[in-house]
Amino acid sequence: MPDFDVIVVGAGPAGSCAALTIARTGKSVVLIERGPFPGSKNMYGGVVYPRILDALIPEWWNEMPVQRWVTRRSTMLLTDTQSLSIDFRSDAWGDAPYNGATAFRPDFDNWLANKAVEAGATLVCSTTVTGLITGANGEVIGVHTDRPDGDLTASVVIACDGVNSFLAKERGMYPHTDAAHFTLGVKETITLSKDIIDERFAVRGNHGVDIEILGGTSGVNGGGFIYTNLNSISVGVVLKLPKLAAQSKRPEEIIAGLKSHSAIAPLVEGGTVSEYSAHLIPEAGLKMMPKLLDDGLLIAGDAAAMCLAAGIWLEGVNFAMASGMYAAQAACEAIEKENTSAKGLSLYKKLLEDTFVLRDHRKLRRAPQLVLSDRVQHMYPALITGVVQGMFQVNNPVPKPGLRKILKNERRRLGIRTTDLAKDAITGFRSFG
Amino acid sequence: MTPVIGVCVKWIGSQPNSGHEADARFAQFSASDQAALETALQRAEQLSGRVRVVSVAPAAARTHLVALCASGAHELVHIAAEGQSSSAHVAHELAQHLQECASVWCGDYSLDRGSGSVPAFLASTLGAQQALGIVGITSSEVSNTLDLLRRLDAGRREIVRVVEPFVVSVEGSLATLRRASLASTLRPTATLVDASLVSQSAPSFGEFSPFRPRPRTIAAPVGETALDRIKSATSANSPQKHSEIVTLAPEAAAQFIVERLTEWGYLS
Amino acid sequence: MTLNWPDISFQDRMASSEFRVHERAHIVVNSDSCNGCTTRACVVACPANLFVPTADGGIVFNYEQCFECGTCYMVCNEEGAISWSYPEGGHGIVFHNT
Repeated sequence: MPDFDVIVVGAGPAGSCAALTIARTGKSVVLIERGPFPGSKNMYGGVVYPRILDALIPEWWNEMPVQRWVTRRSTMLLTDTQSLSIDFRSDAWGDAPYNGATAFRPDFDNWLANKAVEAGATLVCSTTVTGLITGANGEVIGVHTDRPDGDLTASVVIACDGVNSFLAKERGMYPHTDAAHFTLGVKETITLSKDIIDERFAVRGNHGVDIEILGGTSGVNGGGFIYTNLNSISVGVVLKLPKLAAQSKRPEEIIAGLKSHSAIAPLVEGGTVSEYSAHLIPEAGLKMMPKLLDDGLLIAGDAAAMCLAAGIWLEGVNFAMASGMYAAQAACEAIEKENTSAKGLSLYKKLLEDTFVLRDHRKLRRAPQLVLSDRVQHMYPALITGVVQGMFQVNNPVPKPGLRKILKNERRRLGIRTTDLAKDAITGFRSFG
Repeated sequence: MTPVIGVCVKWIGSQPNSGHEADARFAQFSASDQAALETALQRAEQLSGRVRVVSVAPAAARTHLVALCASGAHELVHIAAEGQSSSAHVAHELAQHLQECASVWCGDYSLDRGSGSVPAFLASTLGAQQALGIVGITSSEVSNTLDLLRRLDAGRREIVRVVEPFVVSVEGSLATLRRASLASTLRPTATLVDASLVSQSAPSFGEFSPFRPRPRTIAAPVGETALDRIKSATSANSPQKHSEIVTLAPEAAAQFIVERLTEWGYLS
Repeated sequence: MTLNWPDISFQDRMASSEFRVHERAHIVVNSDSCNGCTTRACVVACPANLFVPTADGGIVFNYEQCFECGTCYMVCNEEGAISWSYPEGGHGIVFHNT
């Protein structure tokens, strides 16, 4: 008899949703976390979209630890001396069931893991899983941990062990890991008073702002972000690894560069950095996704590269929660049918294919590459801001030029080929349209 | 009868000076508390005894206490108390559960930079000997007497001998707490005793204050000129002994020091 | 372009994060590989600045203030030059407000 029905490795959003789902069916499940408490190792930009929790925790919004509900979203283009924002606000996002929320992961993940514990899951913290135990036929039957007498067996292991997933790699489920598929996220949590945040970002009460920035990353392909928490703001950049490695500016210098931009400085100045953090992001979507299941093993969350980083959509926690939940459902079904082979666990794949988890990834499979491409990163912001500047600049006595002429001039000035522009427009339309 | 070795640990809700609010998630037991537990576990192995961890702590500390005890403690006495209590009060409450312990081990340093007076009150309450600042154990034979290496200022060390019953405060460098096994982390084996405060305030330990030598009266210096008076006041030019090196056995040395201090007027 | 002085020193920046350091290094660098390396991507990319080039062509590495992100071994082009694992359970970075 195995020690548990299911071992879940990692008490992040994927692992906790998996453990919660399994515990509710009455099966025994252990949730193993390497940090001193769930969420202690976890970092992200700052916004979670929790609607998937409707299925697990009705009216989750009454108890979830939230900093602010995002009611205002800005997408910002930056060049060295210009900025262009598209700003949207919806009062509907400030009321149940809400849309997105800023939250701190040590709060959010800890809350979610405790929901699993309340449902009957066993949580073990400060314990690092160091490898998989395999049975006579090569199937996964448990894990090794770094505690004395640290082996544990189960019918199914769900690896939610994060972006570096040593378990998926050990099992050979990542065909190859390419640095080009990852971005480094670094951020500063900057303490500012609530009044100042409310004023600077034009929000009230527990409403907040999400600003996504293209450009402003010192020429390294990636992007920037600013999110409002209750008494602090999160300011950071996301940097494509090979591009970061191929130049000489360090990550914290790139954040400093963003913070000194004339469009950003007035928003962030005067605060004190209360925490500096960094994490890798699996950025390439479907292109980098590993094999998702094997005999006795399921992979979910960041470990399965289920992170949607497609420019205007930056989501990850919701994909993690959903994949964890679906992995748990597949594990439960397989245990009930007494077939925990890859075939017995195949419900996982089906649930992912049928829902937003893989549908969004499939639809946006070309988006990450497009958004991080050199043209989108370095040329189009200059093109668009150049056109807007041409439109709004009053050069009397020179008469106003027509839009078509401005566009043509700017395109020539920047050396952008019409064919590339058309190609990217089609890719963009196919992804986002 | 199986000997019971006591360990006292201090709960700090969060790291002091971290700028963060008290939050059990970030709490830890100090390295010296952990060293105290490890030393007690080793002594229990030598004596085939049991280790009892006692702590005055709020309910929020429970999971941390249980996790700490998973390293091998046999009993956990959790004296429930929210809020701060005085050192004398805490010692009084701890003592209720340490009566049969021949040795009690404490951490020498708490994360909130406490005064370190709980072990002293505890020793007084239990009528036990006390030693603090312990960085090593020099005696190897198993007996009711232990020779302990104690840290003094300026890098010096001294060896102190304690005889049971004793209360010892150890520094974090003495030992590293062993890692709890996975099994004992999953299913805690320590017997859990829920206790409550026996009194709401500290019993009186009497009046006490720091030892401050009384000032001595010195006659005004005599002399014709200011220079003479200064010479007289400072004993300059006089063939006086400024230091004296004597080699004596410890008992005689102590006696010698007491005599000199009395002679100089510091003791009466 | 104006010269931007950092608004916070690197030491103060790193001091804003909590690290529970374990005595065992979870990063190990094979200096033989580093001596021939010309790219030294880890030096610029590590967000905690843990990799420091030395005058004799080697690399000194620290592990104490590691965010456990994995950037160093991902950007390293020398197979096996950086061995990287997680620190012992309960140790390493502890985030508070992320």
